[in-house]
Amino acid sequence: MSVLYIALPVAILLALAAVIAFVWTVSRGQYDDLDTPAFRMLEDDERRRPRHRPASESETSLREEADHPDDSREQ
Amino acid sequence: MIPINSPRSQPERTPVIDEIDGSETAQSSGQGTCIHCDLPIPISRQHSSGPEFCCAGCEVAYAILQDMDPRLLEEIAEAKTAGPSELTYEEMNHPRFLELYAHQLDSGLNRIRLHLEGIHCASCVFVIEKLPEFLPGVINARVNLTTATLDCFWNPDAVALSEIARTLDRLGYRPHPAQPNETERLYRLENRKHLIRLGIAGACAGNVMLIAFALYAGMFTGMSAEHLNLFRWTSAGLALVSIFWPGQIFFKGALLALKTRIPHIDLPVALGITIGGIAGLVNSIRGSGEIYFDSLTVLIFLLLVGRYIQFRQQHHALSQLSLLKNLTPRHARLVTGTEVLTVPIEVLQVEDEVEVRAGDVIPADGVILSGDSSVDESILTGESRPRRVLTGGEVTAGTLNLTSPLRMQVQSVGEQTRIGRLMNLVELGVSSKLPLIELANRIAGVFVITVILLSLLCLGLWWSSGANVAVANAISLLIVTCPCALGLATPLALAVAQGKAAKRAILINSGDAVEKLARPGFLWLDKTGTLTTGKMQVQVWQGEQSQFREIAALEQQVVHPIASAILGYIEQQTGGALPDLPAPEDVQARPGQGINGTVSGHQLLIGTEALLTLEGCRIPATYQQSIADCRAQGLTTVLIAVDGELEAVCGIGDSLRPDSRATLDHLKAAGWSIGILSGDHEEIVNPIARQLDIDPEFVHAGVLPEEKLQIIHQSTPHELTVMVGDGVNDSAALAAASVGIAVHGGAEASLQVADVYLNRPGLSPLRELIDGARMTNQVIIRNLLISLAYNLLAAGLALDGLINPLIAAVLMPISSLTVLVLSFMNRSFRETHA
Repeated sequence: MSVLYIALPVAILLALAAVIAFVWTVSRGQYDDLDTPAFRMLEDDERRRPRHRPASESETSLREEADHPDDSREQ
Repeated sequence: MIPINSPRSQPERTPVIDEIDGSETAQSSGQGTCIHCDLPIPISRQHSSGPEFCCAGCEVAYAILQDMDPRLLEEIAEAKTAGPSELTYEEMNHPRFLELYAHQLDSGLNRIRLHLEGIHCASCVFVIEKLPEFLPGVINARVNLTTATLDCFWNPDAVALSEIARTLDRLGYRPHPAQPNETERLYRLENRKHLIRLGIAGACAGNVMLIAFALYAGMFTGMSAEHLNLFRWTSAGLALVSIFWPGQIFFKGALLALKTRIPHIDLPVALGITIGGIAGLVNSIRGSGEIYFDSLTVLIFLLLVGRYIQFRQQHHALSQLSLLKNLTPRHARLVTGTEVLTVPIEVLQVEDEVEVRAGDVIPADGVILSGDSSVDESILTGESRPRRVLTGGEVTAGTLNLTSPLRMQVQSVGEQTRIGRLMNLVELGVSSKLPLIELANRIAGVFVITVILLSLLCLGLWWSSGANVAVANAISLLIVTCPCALGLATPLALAVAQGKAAKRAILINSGDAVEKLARPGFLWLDKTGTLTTGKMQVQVWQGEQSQFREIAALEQQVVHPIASAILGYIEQQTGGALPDLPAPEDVQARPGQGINGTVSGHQLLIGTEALLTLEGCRIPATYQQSIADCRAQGLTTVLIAVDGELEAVCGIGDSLRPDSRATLDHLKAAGWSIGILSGDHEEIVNPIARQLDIDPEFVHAGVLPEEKLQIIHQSTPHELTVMVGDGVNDSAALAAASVGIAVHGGAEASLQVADVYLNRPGLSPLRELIDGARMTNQVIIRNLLISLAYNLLAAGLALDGLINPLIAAVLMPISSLTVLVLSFMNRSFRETHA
C-alpha cells in the first residue's frame, strides 16, 4: 500500500476545495467591481456610526446586507 | 422678468460622465491643478478662493489630512448650500418616482441606485461613502467607481430622498436615477461564467501537469504498473472534467460551425480534444502508450484565456444610462389651476400645461401657450445659433430655454418625443452593427481544413507502420499545430493596444474598431464641437473699447451664448474679472434681436443690424465693410451703439480647433476621404470647409440627425465609414457607422454609442488613434504570419514522424509565447510620433 493512495486524493481534494471557494466568490459577485475596493482601503478601519443615535438592529443587519451585492440571487 | 446671469446660473449642457475624469476637465492652458490630487480643475470649480480642488471629495479629504476639526465634514456640507445648482429634487419625493426607481426593503428602509456625475477619484468615494455620517437617516452608501453609481439605503421616515439628492448635488455630484439595466446584468453574469470556466480549466490543467511530471519522471527511472495506472486514471478523471465542463464551449462552437458550414477555429480544437481524449482513454484502459491529457487540459485553459481577453474587450466600458432619461430633465413644473407643482417627468401627460423657466431644459414636445424666448436647439440640430420662439411656436424636449419663461402645452412625452424617437434609432443602430469578421477567423477557416486534411494524410502515411504509430503521429500533428497562437494573436494585440491607448486618453470600447480603422475609408466629421471648439467666441472686434465696463454690465443681465461670448472677450481684454460693475437700469431683452438698457447714464443698444436700424441708429460706411466681412466668414454680427451712435462691430462665431487642419491633412495623406455632416447653416459650415480644404461635394450643412443617419447608411455597405462627432444629434450616425468616434467634451449619448472616445481636447488624438490602429494591425498580421510559419514547420516535422506527442506538448506553448512577446512589443500609441 503506497502512501500515494492517500496523498493523491488529498491533493485532489485540496484542489477541489480551492475551486469550490473560487466559484463561490465569483458567484457572490466579488469580482464584479475591481476598482472601487482599491480606494476603500483609504478609509477608516471601523465604520463610525452617525453621532446622533445608536445603530438599531435592523440597521446593523442592513449594513451587512449592503456590503454584499444583492445579485447573488440572480443565479 | 429677466434671469440674472450670475456665474453659477449658466445653463449646463448635457453633462458628460466618464470614468476617468470628471464631468468636465480644465483646458490645459494656464489653469491650476487640484492641490490634493493634482488633477486639472474643472471650470465650474474655479470660482473658489483659497486652495483649489478638482472635486468636493478632495476638498474634504484635504481638510481631514490637514488635521482640521472632525466636524468639518458637516461644516463643509453646510457651506455647500450655495452650491452650483438650484435644483430642489422635489420630484424625487413624488410617490410615482419612488415607485419607479426605489424599492422598499422588508426592514421598512428604502433603497435606490443613483448615477452620479463627476465621480473620478478615491476622494470622491471616500466622501460619498461618508454620507451616513453627516446625513441622519441615510443608513448606508456604497459607491461603484466603475459604473459611477451609488447604492443608497435610507430611512424614509427620517430623511427625504430629495434631501439626499440635494446633499450629493451640493457636494458636487449631481444624481440621476439609474435604470435597472438588462445588458449590464447579462454582462455581469456572462463575466462570471467565463471566470468559473477559467478557474476550473486552470485547476484541472495545473493538477494534470503535476501528475504528468511524475509520469515523465517514471519514464526515465521506471515505475510500477499500479502507480502508472493510478496516475493515468487520475489525470483521465481530471481531464474529463475539463473537457466536459469548460471544454463544452468548443464543442458547441464546432457544432455551430458544422451546422452553418462555416469553418471555425473551434472545429480542429474540438476534433483534437475528441481524438486526443479517446486515444488517451483507450491507452489508459490498455495500460500502455501515451495519454494526452496534459496537453489537452493546457490547451483548453490557454484557449479560454484568449476567449476571456476577447470577451472583456468587446464589452462597452461605459455604463449604460438610459439615453433618453439623460437628455431630458428629471422634473417638470406642472401648472394646475393657480399653482405650479414640481413633478417627476414620468407624470406628465399629453395636454398638460407646463411652465419652463429661463435656463431650464424643456421636458416634452409641445406648443407654446404664452411667452417669447429663444431656444438653444444645438443638442438636437447642431445649430449654433439660438432660435426665437413665440406663442404658438413648437418646442422639442431636451432643448434649452434661454432667455425668458414659457408656458407650453405638452403634445408628446417620453419615447414619443422627437428626441425619444431619435434615441430609439440610436439603440437600433447599436444593436444592428455588424461585427467584423476578424482576419484571424478568416485564416482560421483555411487553417482548420488544412490541419484536418494533413492529420488524415499523416494517418494514411503511417498506417503501414501500425495503427498505434499512425494515431500517435496524427495526434502529434494536431497538438503541435494547435491554433493557440492563432487564437491568441488578435485578442492579445488588441488588448495591448487598448491598454496603451487608454494611457494616451483614447478609450477604445470595442476591439474590432482598431481592426476596422487600420485601412483608410470615408471619414465624416461633425462641425460644432468636433472641428470647432463648440463655444461662441468673439473673433472680430472693430471699434471702441472704452465702454467695456458698461457693455459687460448690460450683457451680464442675460443668459445667452452671444452674451457669454462678449463677456468672455471683455474679461480677456481687461485681464480677468470685472469687479463692481455699475448696475444697469431699464434693461430690455429682445429675444433673437438683442438687448438695451441704461448704464451709468449711457443708453446702450446691443444687437443685430436690423434692430439698430429699427431703433434709428445710422451705420457709418467704415463699419459697412467689416459687417460684410463678418458675414462672409459665417460669423454672427453684433453691433453695439452707445447713445444712438454706433461704437463697435463684433463678429461672433465658433472657432476652429487649432489642430483640426493638421490632423485632417495628415489623414488625407494617409488615404482617407473626408466629409462634413453638420446641422448648422451653410453660411457657417462652408467657410469652415473652405479653411480645411474639404471637397464641397462632401459638405452637408443643415442636416437633421435622421438625415445624418441616412447618409451614413447609404455609404456604409460599400466602404468603411467612420463618424466623428460629439453631440446628441450625431449619436444615431455614430451608432450606425462602421466606427463611431466621440470627441472630448461631447454629450453622454454620443459617448455611449461610440466605439472610441477621445478623452483629450482637440482632434489630434484622432490622428493618433488611426496611426495606432494601423500599427496594431501590422502586429496582428505579423503574429499570424509567425504562428502560421511555425505551424507549417511543425506540421512538416510531425508528418515525418519526428515529433512524438511529448515533444509536441512542449513545442505547443512555445508558439503561444512568441505571439505573447510580439504583442507586448507593440509599438503603437506611443508618446512620440516618428
